[in-house]
Amino acid sequence: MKYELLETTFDGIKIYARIDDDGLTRVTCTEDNPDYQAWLNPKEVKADGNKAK
Amino acid sequence: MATFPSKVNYATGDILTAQNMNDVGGAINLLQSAQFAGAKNKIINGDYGVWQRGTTLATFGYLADRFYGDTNATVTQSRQTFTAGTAPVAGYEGQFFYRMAKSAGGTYASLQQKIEDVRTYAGQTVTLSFYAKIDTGTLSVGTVFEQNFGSGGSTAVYTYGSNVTLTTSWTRFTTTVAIPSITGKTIGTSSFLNIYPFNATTAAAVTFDIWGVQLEAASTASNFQTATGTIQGEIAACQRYYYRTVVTTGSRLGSGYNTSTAGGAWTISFPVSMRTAPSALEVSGTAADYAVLHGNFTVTNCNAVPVFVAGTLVNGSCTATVASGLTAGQGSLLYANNSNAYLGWSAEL
Repeated sequence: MKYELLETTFDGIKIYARIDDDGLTRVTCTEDNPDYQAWLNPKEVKADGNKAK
Repeated sequence: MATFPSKVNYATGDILTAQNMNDVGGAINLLQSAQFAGAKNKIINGDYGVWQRGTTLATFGYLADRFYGDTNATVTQSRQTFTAGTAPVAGYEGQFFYRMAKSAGGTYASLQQKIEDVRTYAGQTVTLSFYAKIDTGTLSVGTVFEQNFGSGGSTAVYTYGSNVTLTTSWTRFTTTVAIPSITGKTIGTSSFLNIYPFNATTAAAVTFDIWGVQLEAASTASNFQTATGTIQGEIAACQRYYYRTVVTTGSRLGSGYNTSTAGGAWTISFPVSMRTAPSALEVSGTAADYAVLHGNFTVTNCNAVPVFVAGTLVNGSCTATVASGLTAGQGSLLYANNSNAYLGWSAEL
């Protein structure tokens, strides 16, 4: 899965397409989209699994 | 803490005293602990009744509304149906439950729900409860409460609850934690409290089943109920974060106009105001699922899937293209060629 710049709207907003592994586009979004941002900047800190208080 | 009603049964002539009003002990039936008290549960869709995105997903991500299944292994998330009479709570016949079938490999599997606004339950004692089981053996998993201060906010704070050991039988698990204060923190945009009913570190193949997720401001778990207590309330609560059209062949997905002979723009109204203007549009991935209805009931197939253009709290707009045949400037409708077509608008955290 990857994102590619698809187009820029008449008011200057960049629209990105998420291209899935099968080559199909199922999501288009702006650069503010949380999933796009998570793909662009993978979260460095994740919750520790199985960690108890 | 709520202390009313202070007395459960009244007889003719009873006098409600100041002591009654202030009595928080004894045999008082607090609203907070009653099964049908409203809005005690901050988890939306905790009974897995709402599945706008479908019933199966062969990857990580959102499937059941509001719940994000995450893993770095091959996985299938799905909706499962309780056999009548087998739901884990007597007196509450759940219809569906959530399943995450993780293949061997990877290092973790978790289920999360992001509750809007990091101020939620800050500085309070909360209890997370849920019913769960796995397919074989036993597995100890963590429970996590992540205070995420949003874009531009302070570093996330993780609070860990007790580990719970899942078995092959439906069991209710509870964990109580003190959510830290947010004093001194900077709250950015789109902050949230992220709840992990399970957060497992495992490379093994394991199938998780879960139902009845509840988070409440209390030191013990009360009987499960949904966040809103009604079917329509749960759907509306989910649609604040995600809305997907449900269509049949010939449904009109949106109204607009042809911007050229080979394309148009259409707007779709949302049933409830969304959390924020949506920033993404989900579609089926197949252009032929969509068409433009124009002129004298002429249907012209799209040659590319609809594309996000803009969103507000109450509507979203998209464009699509066809090979040719439209009249620029004329009104038209975006049309579902079959029941696979949909438009999904996301305002998830």
